Amino acid sequence: MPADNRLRDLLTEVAPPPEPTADHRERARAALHGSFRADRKARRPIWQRPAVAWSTAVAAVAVVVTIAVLPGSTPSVEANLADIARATRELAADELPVGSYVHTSTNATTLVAHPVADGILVFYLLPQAVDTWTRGTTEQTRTRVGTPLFFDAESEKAYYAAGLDVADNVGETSIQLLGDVANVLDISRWSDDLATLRKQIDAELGPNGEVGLVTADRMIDFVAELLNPSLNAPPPLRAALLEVLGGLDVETTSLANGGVRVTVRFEQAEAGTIDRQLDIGKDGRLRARRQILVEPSADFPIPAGTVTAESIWSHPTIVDGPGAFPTP
Amino acid sequence: MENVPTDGEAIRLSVARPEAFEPVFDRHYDSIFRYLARRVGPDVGGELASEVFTIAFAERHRFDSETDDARPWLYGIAANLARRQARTWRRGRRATQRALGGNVIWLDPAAEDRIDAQGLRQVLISAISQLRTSEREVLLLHALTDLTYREVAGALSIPIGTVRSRLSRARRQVRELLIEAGHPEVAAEFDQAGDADAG
Repeated sequence: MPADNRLRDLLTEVAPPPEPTADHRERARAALHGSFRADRKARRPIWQRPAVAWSTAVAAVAVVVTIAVLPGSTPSVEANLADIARATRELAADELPVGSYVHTSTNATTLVAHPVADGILVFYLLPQAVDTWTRGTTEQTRTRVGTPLFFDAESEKAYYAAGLDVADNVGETSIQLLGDVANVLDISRWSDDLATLRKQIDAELGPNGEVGLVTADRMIDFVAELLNPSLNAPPPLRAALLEVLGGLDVETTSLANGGVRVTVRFEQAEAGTIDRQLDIGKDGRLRARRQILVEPSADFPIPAGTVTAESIWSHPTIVDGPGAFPTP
Repeated sequence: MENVPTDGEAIRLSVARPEAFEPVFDRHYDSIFRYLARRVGPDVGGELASEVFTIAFAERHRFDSETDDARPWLYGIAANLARRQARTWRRGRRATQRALGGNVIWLDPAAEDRIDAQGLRQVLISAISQLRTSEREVLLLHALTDLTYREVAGALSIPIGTVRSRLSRARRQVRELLIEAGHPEVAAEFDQAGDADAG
C-alpha cells in the first residue's frame, strides 16, 4: 500500500511518535495493579473485606494504648478551631495525577495486653512505623515493627517465653494491600455541609441511626478516622469535620505551631478516666491522635498519666506510586 | 522453552487470576501509548494509555479469548478514549492544547522549527481535520498503527468493506487538499493507492 505507507511517513515526519518514559509505564502498571487488587477484594468473602477489618480495628483501639512524648501545648483563652475550619474551607484541594498515590508516615508505640497463661495478661509497648499509600479506595501499608518495651522484667520474660515476639513480627517489615475500601473509608461518601455530615455520622454511629445519641468520645474517634491524613480528605470536608468537633462538648487549646488541640474526657469501665485528643494543624489536617489514661481503674495495671493511643503523622505527600517515597 | 500465553489465553486466565493479565500490558503498552500520544500528546496520552488497560482489565470478560491478538481490541478502546478527549477539548476545557482542526492529532511544539518550511505539516493536518470523523478515525488508526484493514475493522466494530471505502474516500480528499495547497508532488504519491492489504 504505497499511499498508506506514504501517509505513515508523512505523519511520522510532521508528528513524530513520542516514546513512553519509564515513569509513564510504571504509573500505568501501578494503576493496573490497583485494578487487580480491587478485583481480588471484590471477590473476597464479606468477613475478609477491608470495611469489616476497619470496624474491627476501631474496636481494637479500645485495647491499644501508646506511650509517646507529648508535644508542648499552651492553654489559650480563645481556642482557634473555628478559625482553622474557616481557613481550611478556602484551601485548594490536592490534585492527584493518574497513577499517583498519597503517602503518609505514622509513628506509634502500641501497648498490647496479651494472655500468656490462664488468667495472666502481659502488657507491653510495641513500636511501629507505618508508611501508607492511598489512592481512592486502594491502600497499601508498610509496617515495620520495633522492639517491644516492658513495664517490668517479669512481663518481658513471660513475653519472650510465650514466643509473642514471633507472633508480633518484631523486627520485621510487612506489606499489606487493600483494595475496594469502599465503605466507611471512602472519603467521597461524606458531605462537606456541616448539617448533612452530622446526620451522616449519626446514621453511621447512632443506635438505629438516631440523631444526637452519639457520645463525644465516639464522635471524636470517628472524626479522627475521617481526618486520617492517609485519606487526604479535601479541605471542605476537613473544615466540616472540624465544625463537627466544634459542636461537641470538648476542651480546646492552642498549639505553638498555630494548630489546636481538641480534648474530650470520658470514663471507660475497664480502664478508668481517659482523655482522647486530636492535634489539628492550621491547615485543618490531623497531626496527632492520642489517648491518655488520666486515672486508671483499681484493677488496671497502667500508671496514671500514661499516654495511651498516640499516632503522629507526617504531612501527606503525593508520590509516583505505591512504595514510592517523597523526595527529600 | 517457556510456554508464553497468547493475549487470548492471558485474558482468559485473568478472569480467575488477575495478575495473568500482565503480559497483555507488557506486550502492548508502548504501542498503545505511541498511538494515543500522537493523537492527544504525551501527557494526556500517558493518562489515557493507562486507562486503556484498566478498562480492558475491567471488561476482560467481553474479550473473545479465542482471539490470539488483543491489539485491535485495545486500539478500539484507545480510539474511543481519544475521541472522548477531543470532545472534552472542544468544550474548551483544554483550550491551550496545541492541535489543529478539532484536535485530531498532536503536534510537538518543539518540532515545529525543524519540520518542512513549505507548510506541509500545516496542510496535511488541516486536510485530515476536514475529514468526516468516521473516515478520520479509520485513516488515523491505520496510519498511526500497524493494524491491517481487518484489524482496523475489528477495532472499530465495522465491516472490512467499510474500512476500505472510508480509507479510499479519506485518501482522495487528502490528495485533493494537498493539490489545492500547492503540493501536487506529494498528492501524486497518493494516486498509487492500492488495496494490497488483504486484511
